[in-house]
Order: sequence, then structure tokens, then C-alpha cells
Amino acid sequence: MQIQVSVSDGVPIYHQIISQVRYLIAAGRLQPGEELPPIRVLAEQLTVNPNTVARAYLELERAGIVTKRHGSGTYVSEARSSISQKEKTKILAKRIDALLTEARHLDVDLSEVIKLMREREQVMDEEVTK
Amino acid sequence: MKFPSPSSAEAVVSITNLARRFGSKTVLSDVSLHVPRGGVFGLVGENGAGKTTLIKHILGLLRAETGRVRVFGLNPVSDQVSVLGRIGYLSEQPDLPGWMRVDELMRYSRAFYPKWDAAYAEKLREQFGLNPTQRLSTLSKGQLAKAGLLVAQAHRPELLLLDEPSSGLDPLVRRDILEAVIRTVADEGRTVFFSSHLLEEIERVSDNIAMLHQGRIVLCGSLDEIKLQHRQFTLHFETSQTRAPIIAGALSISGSGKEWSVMCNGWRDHLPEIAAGLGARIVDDRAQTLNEIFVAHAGANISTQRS
Amino acid sequence: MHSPVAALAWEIWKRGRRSVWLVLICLAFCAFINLVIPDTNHALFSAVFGIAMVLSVVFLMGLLNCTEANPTKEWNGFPYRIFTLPVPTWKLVAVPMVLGLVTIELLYLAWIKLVWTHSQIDRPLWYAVILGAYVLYYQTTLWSLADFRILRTIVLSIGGVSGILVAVLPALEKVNAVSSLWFSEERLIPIVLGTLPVAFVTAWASVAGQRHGGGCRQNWLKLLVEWLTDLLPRRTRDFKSPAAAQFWFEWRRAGLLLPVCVGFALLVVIGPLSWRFRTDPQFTVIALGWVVGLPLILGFLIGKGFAKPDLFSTNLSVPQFLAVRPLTATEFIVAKLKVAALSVFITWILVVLFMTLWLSVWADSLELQKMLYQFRMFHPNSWREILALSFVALMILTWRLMVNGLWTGLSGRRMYYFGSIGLQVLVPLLALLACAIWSGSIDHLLQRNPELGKSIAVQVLGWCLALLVIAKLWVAVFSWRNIAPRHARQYLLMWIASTLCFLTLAILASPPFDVYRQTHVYLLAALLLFPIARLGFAASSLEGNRHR
Repeated sequence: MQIQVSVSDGVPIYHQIISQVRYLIAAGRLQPGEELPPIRVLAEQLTVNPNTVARAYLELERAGIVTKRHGSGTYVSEARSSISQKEKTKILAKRIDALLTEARHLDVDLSEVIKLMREREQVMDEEVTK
Repeated sequence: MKFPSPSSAEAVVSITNLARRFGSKTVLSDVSLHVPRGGVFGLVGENGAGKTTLIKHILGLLRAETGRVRVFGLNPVSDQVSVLGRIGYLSEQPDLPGWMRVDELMRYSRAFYPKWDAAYAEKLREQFGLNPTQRLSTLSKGQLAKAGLLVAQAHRPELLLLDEPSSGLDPLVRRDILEAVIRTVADEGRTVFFSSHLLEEIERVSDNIAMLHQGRIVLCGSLDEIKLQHRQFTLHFETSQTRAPIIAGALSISGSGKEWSVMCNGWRDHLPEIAAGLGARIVDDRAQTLNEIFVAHAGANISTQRS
Repeated sequence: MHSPVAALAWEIWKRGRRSVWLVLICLAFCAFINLVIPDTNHALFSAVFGIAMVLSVVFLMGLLNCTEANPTKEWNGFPYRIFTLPVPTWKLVAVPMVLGLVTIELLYLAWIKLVWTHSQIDRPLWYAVILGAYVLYYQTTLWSLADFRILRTIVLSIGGVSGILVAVLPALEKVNAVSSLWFSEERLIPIVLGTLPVAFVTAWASVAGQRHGGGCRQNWLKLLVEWLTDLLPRRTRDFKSPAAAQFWFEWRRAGLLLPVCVGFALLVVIGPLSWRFRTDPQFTVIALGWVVGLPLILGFLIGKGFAKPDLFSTNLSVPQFLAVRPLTATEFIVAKLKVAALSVFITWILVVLFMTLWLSVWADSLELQKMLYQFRMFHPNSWREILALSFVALMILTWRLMVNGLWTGLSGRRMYYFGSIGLQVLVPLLALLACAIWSGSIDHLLQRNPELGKSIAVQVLGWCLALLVIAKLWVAVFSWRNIAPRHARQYLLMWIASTLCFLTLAILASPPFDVYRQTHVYLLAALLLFPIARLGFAASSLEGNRHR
């Protein structure tokens, strides 16, 4: 599992791990049922505190994205996310706000934003089928 | 500014009200900190802040003139053998005897630590690329640091004490040192005490940190808490300000014209009212790196001393 | 400072300011005495002045010791940081040498003009030449042999001793037994002067080699030495205990110095001399005295270095590597004591081997056999025991000289260490001075009533020794109170055994007709000989040094 973290951009390290794992799952580079590296191994690979990695795994488990099997490691969940519809809307709304703010600053029209979103969706589908 | 620190009951190192003078110079004044078991404790401070003096107190190389130092619950001066046998120490300049060879160093050190793992030591030696028949006086600075790290780690100490181990070393050796730190703390119950002014490293691996400035502790607590409380806000004023806005308790204020950056510590809830009172609104709110927090605290202390 | 030469010379002076003051104090003290004393009785004062002059020369050599240490690289030679200055190597070497020559000649002149005004030194020019030559040889050895620490120590000590012999060669010119045309002043002075440019060129070549990273010649020699030392058997087994590991550490560091120095001296100086004079019975007796005294003298000198935490550095604080070992201070000291004992044992084995070889094979032992015969007459029943016990006593004394200074050297305070060395030099000097001053009245007293003088002396000595014994036992109890009972018991057993040995020796060796009741003086002296109080202090000194 290839992920990078950096301390200089102000985002907590466990956040960076969570978002990168989520991206990998969404892009299909991590399949459901695949095992994530053990906490210790990932900590050594990234040279970060094992507690940070443990916290990231815990948050991922709480969000239902991964499941921890007792004694044998952490695996990507088979089932879909079990977060309620309301929470999902909340999470996505926050991201969309950031995207729209950025577009407004860059003076990009809403229709262009939607066109770009469709293009990126196609790219992601291609990566999944590869 | 103190954050809730771990209780002294389960602390590996417990320092209370420690003060130290060398002649007329006060190097440490009223230092208290507790290092909890099983984590990485980072100590930061500028050169001359007293980090090495503090670490020497933990090792028992300096007696506590005022205050108390307890390591594993014992006094490191009177119970030196039991305390030192459970500590692995790597300093900035590992004072290794130049006439020894690498294999002799390993054999000699092994005799002192009953928990020395010979297979592990051999694995480390191969990993570090140290030739057993080489004399220590012919090793480069990085290789000497690795040799010192080998001796400090091979007996799987309960407390790994590192005093600015990476200063002057290349990134490869620094990575080896960080990996040693992580490996130590991944084993249950082992603790690392790490002092450095490479703040990026401390930020990556520490659970708790303490910051020393001119012999005093200015920050102490969990790294996540500290980063959460220190934020930098950008205030946008309606009218251009000729002088910096006075905000009590702010760590640093900089900027010009209509936009001013304020770094504060802990009262992010009150800031909107204060900003409204000054006729400004908050337009940006971002986290700080440890480097920026450190510089702000060091600078703030200097300015409070001057005023 | 307007020129590089002036800057370099100023640096040498500034660094050795203290030595300069010591030299001037010596000189001033003796000049003052010379002014004040009456014209008679110059023989004893000459002894005092001679010792003071030697001391001032030694201090001056300390000033001219232009070396700097590099601890990790274990190197102590010409200051490396000077090599980056824009000055050619010959100038860098010439400045300290010329400075040394000039200062020593000035010192010599000052001594002659201010102090030795009443008695005449015959051959003043020869001494001037030889002193200048010594300074040059000393500096050359320091710089050229910087890579070979032990060899340099040996060469310096042997060179120092044989230098004294060379200095008195012209005096032997008229002595029939050893006269030779080559010992005359007219021949020796040009020879010595001729070696001076050789010394300069050697120093220049070595320093240039060090400056430019060593040529192949130097590397070759160093590689040879390292290959030889690698051939020596190395320990491959693990250590059984921390104490064993620490013993190994101290032994590797300091253990072989005394045996090697003594062995070298026997091989290179006394051996050839004994062959040259193998037909002279008188020489055998004198040489035997020197052979027996050599371990004691060298033990005293090496013991000064042994007392420090690290033998080869002048730093008195405990090196960090040792300070973080999980070992108590007592165990450090036990390791040092054991290393000293093994060192002394090996040294004396070497001495005994040499003596048996020499006396049985090629020495003329006529004089010696006569003395042995008289001795056997004096003590018919116990002469074998006395000889054996004397041998043991000498070994124990050498050991004592090695470990004597531990309580000052390990304390980490320069004042204690240098103060104790200073006292050990100063007190005999002052005693000699006192004898010189009052020699007249003492002679008078002794002439009038020899018996009274002797008995007073014995009584006074007896009382002093008794007080010292009581003080020693008191202080020993006080200083050993913090040491672990196991170590204390072991050491007490050793103390009792050695003291019994000394007491037996004293009883057996005391003269049969004890008119002045000297026996109790000997017995009291025997009680004082084995160190106990100062070693108790050594442990607490080391503690204080390690935990400041």
C-alpha cells in the first residue's frame, strides 16, 4: 500500500492516512477483503508513531470502511458503508462547499464544474476496470 | 501554558520542580514533567535551553540540586545500576572509545545488560553495515552514530533516551534513528524520550511533547492537543490599520494594511467576539506546524521579558 | 600582531602562561635564597638548586609541548587546526623550535647568573648545548611519533633517562674505567650540534606528512603496526560478568604500559650496559640497585597517569561512555586495582627473569657474593625468608605506588590532583632546604653527643609513626563506611595478609642488638605501608565525579 504523509501541510497525519486509504479503496487499488498492512509495519514504512496509525485504523473502522478481525489484522470491509443517509449528505455537502468556493474564486461556471466532474468520474471508472 | 499531562503514578520519568545553576548561570528553573509509559516523548528547545542538562539529570550524571528526579520510580543517583541497566542512551557525540573494534564494543556492552539479545544485535549490525573488525576511530560520523544506536537498542531497554541524535547526520542515518524509535515504542511498555531541534522529526513520531525555553517549560502535553489549540487566524479589517491590533494573549501578530495574522493558543471560541470588537472578521483559520508554534513561543517569551 | 610568526609565538606563550609563571617562581625563589644565605655550606644548597633547576626545565618543556589532542581519533600531535593557516610547513615547525631554543638558553643563563654565583659549573657550554638539543629532540619526538602513542611514551621516558647519562659523559672523561677520547667536550659538542639539523628536518618531514594526509611511507608503517597488533590473540569468548568486562577494558587501556616500559628499559639500556661492564664487580651492585628500583620509579610515574579516569588524556572528568555503564563506582575501582596488580606482577616476573639470566650468565658477581655472605652472617637463620619477603614487599610497594593517587585523580578536580603531585614534589624539596639551612647546627649537635642525637631521632620518629598509624585506622573506618560489605571484607583480608608480611619482614630483619629500640619503629612503619584509607576515599571521589 503506497501512501505518503507529510507534516508540513497542517493536516494531522492520521487524517492524511484516512483520506488516502479511502481514495485507494474508491479507486479500486484496494479491493474489499484485502488486508491492510499491520500497524507496526505501516508505522515503520511512513516513519510515524504507531499510535497515529492505530488511530487512523480506528477511525476507519468506526466509519465502517475497514473491519478488524481479532488477532489476524485489518481488512477492507466487504459490505458497503453503514453510515446513515443523513451523515453521508453532511460529509458530501462539506466537500461540495469547498469545491464551489474554489470554483467561485477561480471564476469557473457551475456547468463547467459539472462537466469536469463527469470527466473525472469516467477516469476513475477506467482505473477500476484496469 | 500547560496542558493536562499524565499523572505521575505510571510515569517512567518523573521530574518535579527541578532547578540547576552552573556558577552564576541558571540553566533550569522550576522544571516539572512526567513521561508516561509506552509512548514517545519529544523535548524541543533552542540551543542552550537546557535539554542536555535535563537529560543528564535523568541519567544521574547530575545531581538534582533542588527538586526531585525519579526514573522507574528510583533515584538515578543512588540506584544507578538498576536505572542505567534499563536505559539505552544515544547522545549527540557518542563518546565511544576509538581504540575498540566494533565486535569488541558489542561484546563489552553485552556484559552489562542481562537482556541483551545477541541475534538482534547481529541483525542490526548487518543492517547498519558495520564491519566487525573495524576500529571505532576509523568510522565516519554517521557510522559512529549507528554504532551508538546499536549498543543503545540491542538490549531492548525500557527507556530509550536520545539526546539530539540526528544533529549533523545525513538523511539515511536519521531515518535509521527514527525507525529505531518507532520499533521501540511498537513493543508494549517501552518508552522513548527524544530531544531534538529537527521539529519535523519530533512532529512525526511524538505522542507528547515538552518545550524548554531558557530553562523553563513553556509547553507540555499531548501533541495532538497542542496542535489543536494553536491555530493561526487571518483577520480582515474594514479599514487599513497603521499599527498592529492589540490582542491580549496572542502569541504573535503580523501583517499589514487590512489583513493581519494572529496566532493564538487556546481561545479560538473567544476570538470572533474580540475580532468583532476590533471591527474585523475572521477569514482564514489554519493549523500550525510545530516549527511555527515553537518560533512563536520563543519569540513571545523574549518580548514578554523585554516588556 | 603583524606577522604570522609573531602570532604563532604569541599563541604558544598564551597557552603556556601558567608554566611560565611556575618557571619564574622557581627561579625567583632560588635567587632569593642565594642572596640571603651565608657563604658557607654550599654543597647542600647546590642540591636544592639542582632539583629546582631540573623542575624549572621540566615546566618549560610543558610550555613547549605544542600538541593538541583529538579524542575520537586518539591522536595527540601537532595542532591540526593550524594546518589550514597560510603559512609554509617549515615556518610552522621552526617557530616552536626556535622559541624553545631561545627560552631554554635564556633560562640557563638566568640560572647561572642569578643562582649559581658562588660555585662554578665546569663545562658551562656543554650544558647549554645539551639543553638546547633536548628541547629540539623532545619536540621532534612529540610530533613525529604522534601516531604511536605507547612507543612515544616509551621513547620519551627512556630518552629522558638516558639523556641524563649523556649529559654526564664529559665528566667521565677523566675516570679511568670508562674514559674514551670520544667523551671529551671538544668532540661531543660538534656531534650534538650536527644532530640538530637532522632533528629539524625529521620534524619538518613528519609534520608535512601529517599536513598533507600522510605519504605512503607513513601509511605503510602504521599498517605494519596494526597488522602486528591484530596478530596478537584477541578475546573471543563472552564476558562472564560486568566486572570482568570492565577489567578487560582497563587492561586494554592501561595494563601493559608498565611491563612494556620496564621491559624496554631492561632490554635497551640496562642490558647493553651490563654487557659492556661485565667485568666490573662494582658495577653489578649498582646496576642491581637500578634494576630493582626501576619498577618502583616507573610505577610512581605511571601511577600518576593511572590515577586519572582515562590514562592517556588530561581530562579529569569521567568519560560519558563509562559514566552511563550500569556499574557501581566501587566496581570501577576494583577493576583498576586488579589491573594494577596484574601489571605489577608481570613487571616483576620480567625483572626476575632478567636478573636470573644476567647474574648467572654474564655478570661479575664478586662484590655481590661478598655482600650476600655478610648478610647471611648477620641473619644466619632467616636470610632466605627475608629475601623472599623483601621480594613480595617490593611487589606490594610497586602496586601501592600505582594506586596511590586514585583518590585524587578520580575526584575530577584539577586542584586535588595537581595539588597532590605538587605537594609530593615540594615537601621533599622543602625538607632538603631545611636540612641545608640548619645543617650547621645539626652537625654541631651530633658531634657533641652522637648517642643522644640518635635516640632523640628514634623517639620522635616512633611517636610520629604511632600517631600516623592511629590516624590511618580512624580515617580508614570513616572512608570505608559506604562501601559494600563484600568488597570491604575482601580488601580487609588483603590488608591483613600484606601487613602481616611486612611485620614479619620487620621482625626478621631488625638488627639483633637493639640499642636504640629501633624495632618498634620498623613495626609501626610496616603497619603504614599498605594503602587502605585512601582507597576508601577513591570510591566516593569517583561518585562525586560521576554525579556532579
